[in-house]
Amino acid sequence: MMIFEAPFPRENIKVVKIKERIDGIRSIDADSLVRWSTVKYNLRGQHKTRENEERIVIDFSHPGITASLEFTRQYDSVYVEIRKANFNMTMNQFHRLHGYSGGWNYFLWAFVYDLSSTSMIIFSVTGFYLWYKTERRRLAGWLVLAASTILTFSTIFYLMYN
Amino acid sequence: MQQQRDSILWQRQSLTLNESKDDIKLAEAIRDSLALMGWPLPWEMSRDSTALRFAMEQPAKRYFITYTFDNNVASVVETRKGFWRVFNSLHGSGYVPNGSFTTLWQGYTWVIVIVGVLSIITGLYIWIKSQEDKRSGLAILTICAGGAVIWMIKLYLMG
Repeated sequence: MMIFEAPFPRENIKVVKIKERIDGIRSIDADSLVRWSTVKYNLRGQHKTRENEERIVIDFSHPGITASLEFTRQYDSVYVEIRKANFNMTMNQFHRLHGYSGGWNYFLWAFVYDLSSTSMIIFSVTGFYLWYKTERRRLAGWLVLAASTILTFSTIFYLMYN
Repeated sequence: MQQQRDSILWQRQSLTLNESKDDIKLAEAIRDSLALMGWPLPWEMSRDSTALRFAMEQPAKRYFITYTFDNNVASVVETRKGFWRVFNSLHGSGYVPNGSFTTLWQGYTWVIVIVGVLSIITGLYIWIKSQEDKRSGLAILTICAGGAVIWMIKLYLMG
């Protein structure tokens, strides 16, 4: 589902678009707009804010529901897009969910996720050690290991220097 | 050519393009004409009467391209992201447009996923078939798998 996207399409099953006028956006700071958005549009989850002279963009991400709010200072307006994801996309959003922000629910998720990642690294190192210690004929293993390492670094350098 | 820290500015003149009214198609034509790899970003794209401006990304580089219509010149600000950013981006990365070599990486990730899933299935099978006491293993498996599903439901409903 994560890799083979074609048979498991990731789609938004519902997209709500709202455009509203809000007086005095120029005098409201980004943190206040985040708090206002969560109450007004019932948004939850982690958020990221991007700000420049003309606009403030706030992206909310919650597995299953994501939202983007674009506040334009010049026109005192906000454009809101709230997207409800299908099952495949929701699972993908869970897979991509990381970072220690968004409250203790997300903190615990990120912590367990990091523990899992650490265990994956430990599995690979101990797996390599076990293989090396228990196998007498290692040629096939070395070939597979060399091929994957060469492919990984070739891809990196291809992307960097082309 | 000007050079800043990790960015360089270069130009290509006399591009021959079929000028499209569709910004994304035009951006892709400019990318192809410049022989660059990557995805033009629709949310960082703007057009006026003089030029099309857009950003483009690939795992190792970011481009900001300005294509002026009257002289068919493309000005490109190319920013390199560095080794570790590319290394990180390889996770989940597939085919990059115009990057024919990345097809190999896409195929490799597919093989790795299939091997990973088969390893889990065969690992569970070997463990189930073994003679040793499975109570502690079953308890850990239930707590981990059940806990993950419960936490996902909780995050979905209340996160």
